[in-house]
Amino acid sequence: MKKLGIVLAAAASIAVAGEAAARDQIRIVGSSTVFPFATAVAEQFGKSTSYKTPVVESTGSGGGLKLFCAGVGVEHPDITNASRRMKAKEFKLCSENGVEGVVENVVGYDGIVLANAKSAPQLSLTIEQVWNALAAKGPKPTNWNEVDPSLPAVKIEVLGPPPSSGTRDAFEELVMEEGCEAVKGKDWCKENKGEEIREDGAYVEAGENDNLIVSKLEANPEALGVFGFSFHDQNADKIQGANVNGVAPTFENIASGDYPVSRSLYFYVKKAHVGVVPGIMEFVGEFTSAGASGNGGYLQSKGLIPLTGSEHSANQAKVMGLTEMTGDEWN
Amino acid sequence: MIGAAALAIVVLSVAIYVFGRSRAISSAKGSLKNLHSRPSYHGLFCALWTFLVGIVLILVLGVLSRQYIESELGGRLDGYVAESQLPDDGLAALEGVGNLDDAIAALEGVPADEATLAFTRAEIERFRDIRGGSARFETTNLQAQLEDIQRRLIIGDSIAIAEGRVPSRIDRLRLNLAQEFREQEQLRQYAIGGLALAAALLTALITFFRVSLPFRARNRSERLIRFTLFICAAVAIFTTLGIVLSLIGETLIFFDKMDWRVSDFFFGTNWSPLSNQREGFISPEDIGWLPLLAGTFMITFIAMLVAVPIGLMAAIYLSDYASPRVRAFAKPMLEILAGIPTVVYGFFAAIFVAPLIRDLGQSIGLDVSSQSALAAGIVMGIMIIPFISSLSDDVINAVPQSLRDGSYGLGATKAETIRTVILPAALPGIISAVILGVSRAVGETMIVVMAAGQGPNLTWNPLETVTTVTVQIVMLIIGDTEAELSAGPAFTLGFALFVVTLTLNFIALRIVRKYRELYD
Amino acid sequence: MVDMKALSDYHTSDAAKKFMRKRHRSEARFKAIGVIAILLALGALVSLAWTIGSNAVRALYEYDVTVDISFPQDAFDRSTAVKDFERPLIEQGILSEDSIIRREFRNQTRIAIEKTFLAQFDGVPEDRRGNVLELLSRGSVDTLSDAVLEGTYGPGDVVQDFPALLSDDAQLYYKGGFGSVDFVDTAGTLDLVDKGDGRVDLLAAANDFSEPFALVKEALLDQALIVERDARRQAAAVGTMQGILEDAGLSEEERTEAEDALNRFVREEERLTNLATSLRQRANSPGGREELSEDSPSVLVFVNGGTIKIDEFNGANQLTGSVLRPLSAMAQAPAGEWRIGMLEGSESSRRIKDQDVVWLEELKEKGLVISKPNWPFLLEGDSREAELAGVWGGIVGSFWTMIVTFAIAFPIGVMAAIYLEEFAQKNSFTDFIEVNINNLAAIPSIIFGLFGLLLLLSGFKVPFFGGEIEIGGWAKEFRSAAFVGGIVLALMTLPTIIIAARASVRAVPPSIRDAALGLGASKVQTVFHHVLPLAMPGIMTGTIIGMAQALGETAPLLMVGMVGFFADVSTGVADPTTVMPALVYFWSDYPEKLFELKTSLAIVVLLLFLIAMNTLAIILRKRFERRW
Repeated sequence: MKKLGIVLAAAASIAVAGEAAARDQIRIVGSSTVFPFATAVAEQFGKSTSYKTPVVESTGSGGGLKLFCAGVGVEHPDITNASRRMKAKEFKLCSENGVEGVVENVVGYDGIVLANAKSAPQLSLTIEQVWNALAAKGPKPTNWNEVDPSLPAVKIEVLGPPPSSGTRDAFEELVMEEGCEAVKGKDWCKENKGEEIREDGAYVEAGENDNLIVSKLEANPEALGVFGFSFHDQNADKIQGANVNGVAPTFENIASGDYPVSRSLYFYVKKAHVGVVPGIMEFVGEFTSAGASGNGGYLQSKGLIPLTGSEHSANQAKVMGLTEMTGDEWN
Repeated sequence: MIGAAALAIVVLSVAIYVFGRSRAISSAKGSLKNLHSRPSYHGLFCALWTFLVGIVLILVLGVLSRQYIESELGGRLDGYVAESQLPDDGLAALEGVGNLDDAIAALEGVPADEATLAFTRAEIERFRDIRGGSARFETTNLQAQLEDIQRRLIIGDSIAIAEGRVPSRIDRLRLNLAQEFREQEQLRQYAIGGLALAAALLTALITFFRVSLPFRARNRSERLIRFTLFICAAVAIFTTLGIVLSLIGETLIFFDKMDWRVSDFFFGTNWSPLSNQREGFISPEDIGWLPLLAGTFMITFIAMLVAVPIGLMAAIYLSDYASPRVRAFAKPMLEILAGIPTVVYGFFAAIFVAPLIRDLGQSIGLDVSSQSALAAGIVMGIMIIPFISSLSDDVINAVPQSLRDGSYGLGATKAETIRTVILPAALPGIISAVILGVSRAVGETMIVVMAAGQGPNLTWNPLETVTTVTVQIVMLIIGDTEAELSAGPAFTLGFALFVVTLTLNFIALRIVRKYRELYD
Repeated sequence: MVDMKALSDYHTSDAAKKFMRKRHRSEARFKAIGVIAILLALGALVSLAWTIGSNAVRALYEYDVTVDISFPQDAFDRSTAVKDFERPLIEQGILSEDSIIRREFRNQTRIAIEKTFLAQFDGVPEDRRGNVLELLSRGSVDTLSDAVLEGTYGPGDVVQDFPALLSDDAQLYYKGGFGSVDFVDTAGTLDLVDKGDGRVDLLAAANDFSEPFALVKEALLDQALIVERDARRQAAAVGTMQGILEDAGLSEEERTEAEDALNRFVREEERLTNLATSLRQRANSPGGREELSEDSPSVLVFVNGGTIKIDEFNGANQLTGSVLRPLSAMAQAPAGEWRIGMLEGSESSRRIKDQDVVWLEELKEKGLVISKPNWPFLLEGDSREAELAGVWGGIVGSFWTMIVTFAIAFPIGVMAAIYLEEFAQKNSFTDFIEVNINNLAAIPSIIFGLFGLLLLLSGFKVPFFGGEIEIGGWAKEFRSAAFVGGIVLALMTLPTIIIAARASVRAVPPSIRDAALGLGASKVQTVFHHVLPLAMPGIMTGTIIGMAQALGETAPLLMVGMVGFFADVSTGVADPTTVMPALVYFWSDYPEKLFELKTSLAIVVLLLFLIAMNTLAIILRKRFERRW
């Protein structure tokens, strides 16, 4: 209980650092979901400009925003990736620490996919069914057909990422929380932490090494796996995604927003560093260019679902104009 | 400036070596045998002292004075009042509150729009749900904390301005402070550089004038050299001490956060320390390490099932049966196994052994996990084979030939001799080799990180996925979690691992000492 | 007096012989177990070497497409490279003109390569151009755009025989990673009828399609197995549902719902069972009509310079297909002039689709594909693209790390060994030091990593006279740098070096010391002038072996952040970098299959370094070691 105000305690970690040299390399932290895209852009940026290749670290969305908001100066990162929008609390933390002038940028979309092996029949689930099957505070059934008779009579076994991963975070937020609210209502869920996942073996933490989940799914066609869309896309020859609320997890459905379990991916730029750490705007320009994150850009082959044409150009204009966040985004 | 001073000290040391040496030569007046020590020892004596005094001064003063300046700068802000004030009606209420229930009662009626306090209250309520209302409650003065943060921010900014880096904001206060800092910093650098250089110069002069015919320069410098050697040997102690202290320190901090529910850690069967990470805390119910310990020992046990029979029999065969040619070929081959990096074994386990075992299991109708304990254990066993075989080889060879000859003389066959004479004689050594092997398996990281699972699973079935202590440490440290949260459990696991392996080594050593047969 | 005859009778008796045989058998058994143990250990070594070696060999070469690239006359114009909206940003110093121009020139180079690449094919529909370009690596532009920026090529220039790198999937296809096309030669003629819309009817005169047709039928059996399994599951569900219905305590509503579900289950089960039966029937009866889907094996017909993918069998010799590569004519093809190609895996189970296969076969047929040694693997840094990733960054990182490790561990280790062997008095304190050194040697490496993390990178605060002082965190700036990794490895290697150095110092015979001391040398002189030089070969051997261990170590370096994506090759000990074993760990995690091959090759490179170091140690020992 020593750290009562967690917000404030975090701010206290401002390092009164020693003699830091000027930095000539962009530092990026943040979400592991955006990581593959950010590294691809970083690599491209390093090759096509005379700047050094940025250092990209995967720290999770929350961890990344925390580092990002810890202050201004070369010891703090210039850009953070997030698989969710910055929260009002985090924005406040930023301004408390003197990080004023944060530019928000939408990278594209990502979907959470529940998939099983190609050798098994394709499933069709609703968010409510998933919640009933997996919630710690739910009915905790053994077989899928106990959730709903229309589902196959097989054991519930879902292989998913451990709590240290950002995909898990998104899964809890987009599937479990929504499902809970649909089944039990908002207040009940808040009170009982309805988004928690059961820990009695129905949900198996299979680690972040997603490759092994895929081979495990192939070995056990009755199991389901939880992935980000980009990874699912890479392995489309081995696994198939389940329909959620009747919508298949395809590129088009996620891009149009029909697929219910999708989210926007963001990155945030520290305006105070622009012009101080060399190359930030060129990097942002590369990231937001049509050739990268636009329709048909190279990030698409990495599994990113791009913004629509008009969204993309609006976003690009906003970012290249260095439009700051005002703090009213959450009202 | 400081760098220049350090360089100057090095130059000075070289110079004084030359001067000291030539002074010694000249004071010998042509017959060097009159000197107690050879001229170069006089030079060495001067140079060593000059160098040591100068460098040590720079290091010590450099660290101390920087901290002094920063605290001095902080002192200028003593009267500074934070720009944004926290609502203090709630804060005042929290003063002197003893437990969580009281704290919530005290915050009753605080308006919800006071974001920070409302947030605080929700936090406390959540903690109460986990730990019960009577749990200890401590608070710090939030207002003071806020002011402290802003003060640090201002100082950080000022230093940034002074050093030409990026500040978060530039205003008059910061510019003034920066100016002040710059002056002080310059002063500090000149002072330290000058002081160190002066001290070095003084030492140089003193030592220089001590150069004389009877001066025992050699003995003096040798004493200094011996001292340096001693310090190097003591590095081992410093390292051990550092490891123990840092692990203990973090472990204590972690247990303190867990309300000292140490038994939850040692006897709990539920390991998911990050299940509450979104809320930013760890619940003591989630830190039971038994599943990890069980997984670690299951993999270790499988590894030993592979390594001990193969390693031991290989050692026996090579020492008592094999022709010199076979021995010359097989022994280096086994040693190659020992030299392969563990990450290679991990890759081997993940892409070859694990799928192989899974397919084998499927062909006989068993449901084998693709990250089964069996795969990791077998590969770890392969890694430990050379370890066991070379240690066993040593102890088997240490059994004197006379014992063998005696046994053969009585008509025993080779196998009988080995079983009834050599193995019993070598047993303590073999047991200690096995224990050392266990200790290695327990601490092994890469194989299990790449081939074992991450789900803490309390099971007896080696075909299922288990996780180990080392896997969890790696996952906690390199995973996507905030370091503040994951460091505690990781270091606590590290400390536990340290204790386990050290105990195993200690036991192995004791067994050898206690039961060793002395033949001569 | 012993009766010798009785004794000798006893030893020649049947019982004794039997006993002797038993003993000899047990002797042989024991020996056999020993041999088996050795064979098992060697078998493990061989299978490890084989697994890694067979993968690594396939990563030794890479595939390029050689094309002549011509740049348009209006290319590489500096005046139009910068867009209008970028000008103000350049003036404000936010963007740099140089970078914009570089990027623009690179884009133009890439467009030129892509255009040329597309032109190699016999006709690619507009909407499939993107798919063709995915066969080309995104890194194919790297070398050429550098050349353009250096001014080697300009507008209007033609680059002869430019080797454009293919993408990882294409590479993998040529390496046989997706199975290869099985060609069947043909005995009869083939008639073609254009149905329009890209579809063609085929009529074979002889039974040339019997083999592919059998393959398709075989796949039906596999499909039937899966459907049957689903049917069994559904049957189980029916059973459960019936059980629920037998429960008397159901409310009316629940009963209706359950009955509904039961009906649905029964219908579904019937459907599945029927499907399975019909699949089996189709598979077992000859001839008949079969439509090929994504899940069937692929059958391709190479005829008249084009390629047709079979969609439908109307009997064994009459087929319908769609054109994947345009045919020169719809004329009848004489026997032997056309070929059938089969791919066993279904299209949906491959990352390379049938269309890609056709394109890749077309390139090969035109002789444009060349395979060449994969030198970039050794010379390039890390990359997210499997076909571009190289180990040079790891090698350089390992080099710097080893430099730091050596610079710290060697002098300290040797000096500590000298102290303990030559100067230390036998007392409890030196005993304590020895115990510590032995313990350090046994501590798991990951603990050293934790120690390094805390002491060098994160640091911790301890209360100190009312305030707080921070202990550790001295090297925060050097996260992921060779500097920090080297320190951690040095602490870990220190015990090895100390133990080896002590053994070598001890091996120097006392007579040398006595002689030196007898001639009036001091203890320090004796040690540094006589003992140490004689012990040096042994010390170096021990040090090299310790360094080899450190070179292969991964776990502690993970703790200090030396695993991650570092595309730039480090230039010193302070740059963030990765090391060879960490690269192996990192790559083994990637989904791209080509990375698996590259990981194996990286392991081979790492092992080569280790073997080189150990060989050096052996040579040193053989060459310089003196027996006293």
